[in-house]
Amino acid sequence: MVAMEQPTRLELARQRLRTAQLVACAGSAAAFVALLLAVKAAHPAQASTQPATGDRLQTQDDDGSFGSGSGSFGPGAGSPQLQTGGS
Amino acid sequence: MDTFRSMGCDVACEVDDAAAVRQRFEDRDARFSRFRVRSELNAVNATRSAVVCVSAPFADMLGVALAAARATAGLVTPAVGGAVLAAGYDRDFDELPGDRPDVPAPAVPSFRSLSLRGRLLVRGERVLLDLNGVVKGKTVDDALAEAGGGWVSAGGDIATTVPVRVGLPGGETIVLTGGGLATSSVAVRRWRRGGAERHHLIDPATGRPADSPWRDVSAVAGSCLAADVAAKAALLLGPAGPAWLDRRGLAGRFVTRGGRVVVNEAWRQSLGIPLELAA
Repeated sequence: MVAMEQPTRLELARQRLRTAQLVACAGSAAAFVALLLAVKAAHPAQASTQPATGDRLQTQDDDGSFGSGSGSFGPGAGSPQLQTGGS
Repeated sequence: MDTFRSMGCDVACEVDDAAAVRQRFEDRDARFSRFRVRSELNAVNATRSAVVCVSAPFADMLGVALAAARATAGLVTPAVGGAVLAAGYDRDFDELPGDRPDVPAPAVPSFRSLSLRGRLLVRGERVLLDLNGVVKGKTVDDALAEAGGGWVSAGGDIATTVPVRVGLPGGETIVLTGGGLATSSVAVRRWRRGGAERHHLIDPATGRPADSPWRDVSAVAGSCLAADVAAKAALLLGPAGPAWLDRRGLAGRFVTRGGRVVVNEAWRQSLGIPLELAA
């Protein structure tokens, strides 16, 4: 009868080290991929894949807050001081 | 009343400090003109780098242009520089030559490919900037604010704090008592290219001068900048323009290419025009 060979304490330590290295490596790779995806999503070029026509089609998405507030005007009589329509 | 030429148009003002108005226009033209070799705009457009550090005034104006693009779903966009050049508007209007061969219209990049981080401009793709959609209106507003009141007009785009009588395309007159009034027109700044008439209002969807049923669109808003952006967008939207302005509570007056005048609901109410006469 042959007794099963027991790993030495040194071998056990080496095994734990290899496992730890593997976990650390996998974790780093996952973090790197997540970073790549985040950078890609944040890059302005990512949005540019949509053609300009897409901007126009999204008329419901426009930001109506620009230039909020209205001017005031009423009917005029007599000769104008200024003429609009030259630009 | 003081008058001078700037930004390719006649500027007039009635303010206490006309010299400040003139200086403001000169500064803005020097920085943002497409036709001044040393303008910052041309320097930025000549840079191929995706990231450019611009001056604080340039960043501010580009921020305004991007806000206008967001407000109009990309209709009034600073990304039309390449399309304007391709349409043939490549030098000061007074120096444009006669007819030249047509060239294909380039696709207009999305304004979303541009972003600002403080003074850092990031371009996700090659974009030639043209800030003419906002520079004149913003300069009118800023010059009036710096002058402390009165009125300022650049090419008929007006901001005022006092009542001023303004003649409209087609012959009517209104009294603008506050805010801004601007008119966008395809009847001015026209030239020939490839045997066809061209104008300066580019439709971002096609990259070509817009084929709109409107010859002139006038809009009234809280500022000259807002009125100018609104008038341009409404012209580019074609038949949808009047309702688009109404949804934003802005008054608009439209003149067809045949000369017929159409006003939107907000304009009709401001002038007290009976409904049957407004259509």
